[in-house]
Amino acid sequence: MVLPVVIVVLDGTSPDIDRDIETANVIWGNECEVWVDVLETLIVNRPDLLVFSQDDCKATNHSVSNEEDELFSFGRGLGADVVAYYIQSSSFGDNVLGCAAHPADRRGFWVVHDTTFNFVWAHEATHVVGRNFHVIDADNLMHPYASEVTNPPPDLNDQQCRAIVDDPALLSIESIVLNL
Amino acid sequence: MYREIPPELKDALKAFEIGALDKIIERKRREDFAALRRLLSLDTAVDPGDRQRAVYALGRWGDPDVVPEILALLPELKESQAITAIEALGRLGTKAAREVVASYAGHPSPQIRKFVVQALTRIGDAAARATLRKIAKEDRQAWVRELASKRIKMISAKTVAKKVS
Repeated sequence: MVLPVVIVVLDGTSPDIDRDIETANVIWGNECEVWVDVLETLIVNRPDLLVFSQDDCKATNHSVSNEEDELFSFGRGLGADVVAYYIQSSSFGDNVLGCAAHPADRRGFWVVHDTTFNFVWAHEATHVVGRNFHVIDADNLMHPYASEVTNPPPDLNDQQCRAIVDDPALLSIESIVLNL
Repeated sequence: MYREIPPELKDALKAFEIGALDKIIERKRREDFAALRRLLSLDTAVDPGDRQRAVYALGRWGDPDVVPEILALLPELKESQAITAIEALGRLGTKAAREVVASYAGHPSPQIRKFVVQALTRIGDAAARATLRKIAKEDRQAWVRELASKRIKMISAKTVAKKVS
C-alpha cells in the first residue's frame, strides 16, 4: 500500500525531507508494508506563516485559526488526501515539534523544519492516517515524549498498522499499476 | 517548584506536542492554574520551555489576573518566547495588555510585529484599531502592512455583522 502525500515547504525553512520520508518508510514499511509516495513538493513564500499560530492542537473540538485555514489550503487538488507542512516554529512554544490537528475538510499536519528527531514527521502522519493516538510504550512511534523514545527506529503495533492500512487515503500498489 | 506540579501537567509539559496541555486548559482545575502561574517565575529553577508553555496555557485560560505577571516577564524573553507572550496578552485583552502589546509595534523583528497585529486584532477596541491602522500604513515590511490591512477589514466586517444581527 502507498500513501500519496504532497509536501509544502514555507520559504525560509530548510527541512531534511529525505531524512523524514526515509524514516517514515522504514517504520511504516517494516511494520505495516505501507510506503510514502511524495507526489509533489511545493515551496510557498508566506513569511506571515513561518511562525505559525494555531488556536489549539486538539483531536476533538478543534478550533481552526485564520492562519491554519490559510496554510492548510496550500497543496490541495494535487492528488493527495494528506498534505504535510514544514514551518519554522509555532507560538505554542520552542519545544513543540508538530501538530496533527487540521481543518475538517483538509487532512494534514505540520512539523517544525529543524527538529533533530527524525521520527516526528512519521509520528504526525500516523496521527492523521488511521487516527492513531498516543501510547505509553516508549518503543512505539506514538509515544508522546520524543527524548524518551527507546530503540529507534520506533515501532508500530498491529492495531496501529490495521488503522493505517484501512485509511481511505491509501492506495494499493495494484491500483497504481493499473492506472499507468 | 516542580514537586508541586500535578503529575498530568508535568507530563503535558514534557510532550513534544501541545494537545495534552490543551486538555488541561479545557479541564480548568484550580491546582493546574496555580502551578502554571508559579512557572511564570524568572527563578532559574524553571525551565524556559516550561515557562513558555505556561504563558501559552494561561493566555488561553482567560483569567486576566495573570496579565501583570506576563507583562513583567515580557522584557526578559527571547524572541520566540516573547511571541507566545504577546499572543497570550492578546487573548487576555486588558487595557494594560493592549498598551504594552502596542509598544512592540516598532520592534525590529517582523515576526514579533506580526503577532502584535494578531493580538491587537483580537483585542479590537478603538485604540487597538488605531495602532493597526498605523502599522498598515507605516510598517517597514510590506507583508506586515498587508496583514494589518487585512485584519482591519476583518474587524470592520465583524463589527458590521454584529450590528446587523
